[in-house]
Amino acid sequence: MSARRAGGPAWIPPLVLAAAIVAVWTVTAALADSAVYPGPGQALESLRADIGDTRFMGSVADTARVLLLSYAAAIGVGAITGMLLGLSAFWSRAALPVVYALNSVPKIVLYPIFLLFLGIGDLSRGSFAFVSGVLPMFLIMVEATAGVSRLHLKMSASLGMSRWSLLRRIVVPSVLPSLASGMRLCFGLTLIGLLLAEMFSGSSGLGYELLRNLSLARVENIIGQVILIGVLALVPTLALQQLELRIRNRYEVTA
Amino acid sequence: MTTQMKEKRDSAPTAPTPIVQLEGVEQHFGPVHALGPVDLTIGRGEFVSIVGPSGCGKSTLLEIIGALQDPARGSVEVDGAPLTGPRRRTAIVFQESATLPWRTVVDNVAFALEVRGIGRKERRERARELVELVGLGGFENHYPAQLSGGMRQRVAMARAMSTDPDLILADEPFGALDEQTRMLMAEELLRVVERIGCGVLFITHSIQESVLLSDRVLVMGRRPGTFIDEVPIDLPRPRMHAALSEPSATAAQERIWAQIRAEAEVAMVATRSTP
Repeated sequence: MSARRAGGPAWIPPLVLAAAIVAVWTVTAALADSAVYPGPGQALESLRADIGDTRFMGSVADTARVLLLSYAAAIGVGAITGMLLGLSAFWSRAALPVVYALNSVPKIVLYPIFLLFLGIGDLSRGSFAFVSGVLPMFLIMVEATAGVSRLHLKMSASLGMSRWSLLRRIVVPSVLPSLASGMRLCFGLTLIGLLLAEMFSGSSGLGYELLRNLSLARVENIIGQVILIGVLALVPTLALQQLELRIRNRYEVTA
Repeated sequence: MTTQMKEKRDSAPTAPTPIVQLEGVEQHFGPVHALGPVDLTIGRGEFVSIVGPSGCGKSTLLEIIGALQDPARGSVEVDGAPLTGPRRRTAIVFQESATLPWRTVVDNVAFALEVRGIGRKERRERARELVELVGLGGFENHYPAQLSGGMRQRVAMARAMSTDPDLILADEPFGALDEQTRMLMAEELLRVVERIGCGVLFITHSIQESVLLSDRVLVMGRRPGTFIDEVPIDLPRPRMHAALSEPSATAAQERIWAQIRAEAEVAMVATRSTP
């Protein structure tokens, strides 16, 4: 750890790399001088124009709102059901193979079913994003709960702890590190699910804007939006990473 | 301590009820006959060790007495009453990782009291005393990850003491520690146990450790484990590590090793042929 810190604060190396990538981009775009390969300047220019547009900002707000709701629901439902199932050895054994199989199906093939039952709109898009996030969250939590230290469980049994007390004092603290990793992982998956859904059936939202620009052949707008989505995803991801790090430091079993 | 030693020597049927009394205890896991039949009596304040080859059923026996599993056959009485579930005054010391990594030293020690509904102020006060007793004063607010293996085991010991036990069951508590720490911890355990005067059932792989600590060492044969020898250890207390070089102590160690060796050799061959 100390060796890695030797180069100064931890955020400097990734920043240097990012700057290098932008530099390479600028140079290659200038050399290519192609209509379908805009440089960072053009991309940012069109992004600025987009941000000034109320319709576009409405799309951003729609995506953010649906994302927040579906993400919160995926985390909550996945964590709680996963933990409850993980407590029962029988139901874990019964359900895990099925859910793993379900999870390995590319979710997008299920999307027509969502459209069929929920129609085009926030509900089907949000539900699809929810399912993209909730399955991995659920699986992570089942595994984490089933993996609670046997020694800790024995100790609890020897103290004659009630089920509720066991849940609160042993199980929940034990699964917190996995919960934090799951939250970070599922944020990305929920976002992908939502953007995909918007591309297929949107009348608004960032995924819809991306495809709309494609049909209008506005490559610099697309690149600008990619940057915007990157930044929008990066901030929560970094925050979740920090959260995970803190929780791991405190709660992880280091035998 | 001398009175306790005396009590143990004339543990005739008329003596006060022993803390642990097992008769014909057996355990089966499916088709595997894991343990017994075993008879075992532990007197009040007596320190009994069990040594034996790996997989002979020592831990199973301890878990039966601790009510963590039910025996397939036989009767288990603790403190004169048939065992029906975990007892308040039985404390179990597991391996070192049984400390909860998300709790500070003092909150780990207070854990058993918390589970039993003792108020925060009272349990922390009691926990602080115990932290002091096991020599961890100044580390109250450290987390287990910040402690050495030996210190973590002191935390587990203090937690075991917290409920005023009359019986301590220790399942290879120092198994994960290095040799020096092990010896120091053994002396520490003796000091603390002598102070509260409870009965102890101690499971270990280390013959030295068993001789240093115990009033009596029971040697368990390979699976299904039964006792094949009982070795009384007549060393004066309080004992320190030096006591191990006394003639009676070396004789006891030789005797135990001879038994274990024969059993372990057979067990090794048996495990190889049945994977």
